[in-house]
Amino acid sequence: MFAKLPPLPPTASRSADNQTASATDIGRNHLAVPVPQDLDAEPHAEIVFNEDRDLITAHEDATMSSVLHIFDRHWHGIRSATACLPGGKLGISHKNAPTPDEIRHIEGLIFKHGFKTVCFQGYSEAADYLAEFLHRDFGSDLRLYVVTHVTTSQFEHAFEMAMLKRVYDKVGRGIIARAGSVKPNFHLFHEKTWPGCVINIPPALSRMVVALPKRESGTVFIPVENTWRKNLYTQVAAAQRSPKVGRVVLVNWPAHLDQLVTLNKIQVVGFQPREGLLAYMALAQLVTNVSFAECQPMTQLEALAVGTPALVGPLRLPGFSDHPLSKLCEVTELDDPGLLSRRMETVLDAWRTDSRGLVEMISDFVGQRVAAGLASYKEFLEL
Amino acid sequence: MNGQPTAIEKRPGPSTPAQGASFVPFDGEINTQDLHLRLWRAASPRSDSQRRSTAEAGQKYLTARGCEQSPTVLFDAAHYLRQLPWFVRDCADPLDHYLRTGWALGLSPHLAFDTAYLGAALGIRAWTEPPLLAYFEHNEEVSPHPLFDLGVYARHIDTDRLPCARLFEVFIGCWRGAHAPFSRLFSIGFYSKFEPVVLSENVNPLMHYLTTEKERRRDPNPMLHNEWYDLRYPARPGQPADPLIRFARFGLKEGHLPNPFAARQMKLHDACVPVPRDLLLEYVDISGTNRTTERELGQTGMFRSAAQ
Repeated sequence: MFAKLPPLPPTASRSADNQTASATDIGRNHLAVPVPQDLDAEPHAEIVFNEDRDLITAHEDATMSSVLHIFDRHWHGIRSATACLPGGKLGISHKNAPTPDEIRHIEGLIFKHGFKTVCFQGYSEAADYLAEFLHRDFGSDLRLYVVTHVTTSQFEHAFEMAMLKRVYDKVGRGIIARAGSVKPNFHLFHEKTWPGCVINIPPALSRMVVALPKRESGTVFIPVENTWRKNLYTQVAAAQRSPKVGRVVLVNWPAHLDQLVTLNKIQVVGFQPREGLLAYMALAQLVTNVSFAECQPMTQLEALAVGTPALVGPLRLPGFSDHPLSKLCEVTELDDPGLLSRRMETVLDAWRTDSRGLVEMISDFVGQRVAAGLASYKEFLEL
Repeated sequence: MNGQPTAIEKRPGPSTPAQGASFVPFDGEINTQDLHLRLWRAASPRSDSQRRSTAEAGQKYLTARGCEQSPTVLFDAAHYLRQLPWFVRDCADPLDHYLRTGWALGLSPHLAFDTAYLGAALGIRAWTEPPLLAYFEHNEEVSPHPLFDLGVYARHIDTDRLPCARLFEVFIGCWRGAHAPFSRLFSIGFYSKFEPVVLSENVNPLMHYLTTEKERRRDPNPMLHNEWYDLRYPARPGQPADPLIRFARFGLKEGHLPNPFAARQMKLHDACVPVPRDLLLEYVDISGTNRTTERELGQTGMFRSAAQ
């Protein structure tokens, strides 16, 4: 994702990934999970390096220890995806160009930690500015790569195209070694994209202390923002109408839907930090992120990491389309509440009829995903 | 004494130099011949020490010693003379001048020979002899410069084949054949990124750093921002003007932050509280991370350790 975050409305608390919540929504029917915290508690830091939150869910891989991932610390979806990867983690801000002090420090960090490869996760003017300096000062000692997290449907934001142009220009000039995408077949859109697909991996939770609640039968968690692309209304309507769904937990309120439909199953918990999200995901029997356009949603991977299946739109990820879990959870009924409701019930039934099989299916998918993700990164980064 | 002033004998008490140990001049007659001989013997390479210990060899040395001649590279006549007032710079024998009076005036025999630092390392509060002589006559080698770490340098150099008495002499005098990481705070690789002449022309990086004007010096430590450090912790009276040297001598002990991002990266809750020394040293230590440098310096030098 390249998009700049939109300015927050006056009543909003914070935006994190695809969550925004108005103050009036928060506080309704809270579940017993950690109190939401300020995820962006770095008020004075423009650059952050190897913060705990960016390392704690990372998988380990010695081959990638010489890779420094540079992400935007305000783009939480990309930050979450980056946090799962092995290697160093540097957060910058798209809001300001790095200062000379910051560039000096980043170069010092790269040298001190022996990083040989920089992988920009997402791209902004600030990243572009930094790439110029890194190329000037390190030359061929440091290879620069970019992973884009954007789909062509997001080109309604002209910013995304402008940034891609900068990336491809730098690929053309040899400053950036490769530009890859987490969107399958993105190279068919632009020939300067690496032809493979960079694969996101689920978080490693072994080092993280999360109080996971007991799974609650019939609970569906829909942690998406209320935008056209994220398709919140259809998902809420589908969950609400299913008799097999007992409770629908949301982070955003489907404004005005109550004029048409009774929303007696809905509980809005508002913005959640990562621990809270994982706790709600573990509580639910199903997480849904059935959006109209998506690359590789972290919502799905985080849900799978706590053993909860996640309904998603068609992802068509190479090597995974035929996996039983993909067949169960990738849906094409994106804007049909009736059909989507049935797909939800199919997954909920699987818990009842063969929960062990479902858990094994998820576990197998996660294992394959981690292996494929690390392999794709190594191939992309030429490690 | 070649007509040089003998004011040192007339001074009422010991001089008080700007920093470090004070200097107490000799009482009475100064036997510079004896000082020359002692320095020549103390600075002898291991292979020649037996020969130099004889009276005959000593007499021969004193007779044959030229005015510009020094038994060690740690006496740099040109550097020494630059410290003297212009009207006495034409003294014929700078080493003789140093051994007689210069040391007591606080003059330095070499740009990289930090008398104040050496005094602290040897536990000397007041010099009663030339520091250069004391350095060589001390049983064990100690570093005479805060940016030279004997342990780090010795890891890369074959100390059994030294052509000099001290490892530091090899570092200063034989850099072309003995280039290797030498400090926990001075990264050759990082410094040479911005001063490529250090690698391309095999210039001793510490000497390059010390001879560069202070305002134009590039940072040798990736984690210490010289300019920021200088503003945050300005030199107090008697402290070295160079930020890195000041950090090495005082900042580490006093728990100074090396850059504006360090407090957060070291997970300190209060940036005003001194940083524990071990934590700080681990943060700035580059001796284990000079991978690039070691590869770049990988060609076999004449004193390079076979174990490397």
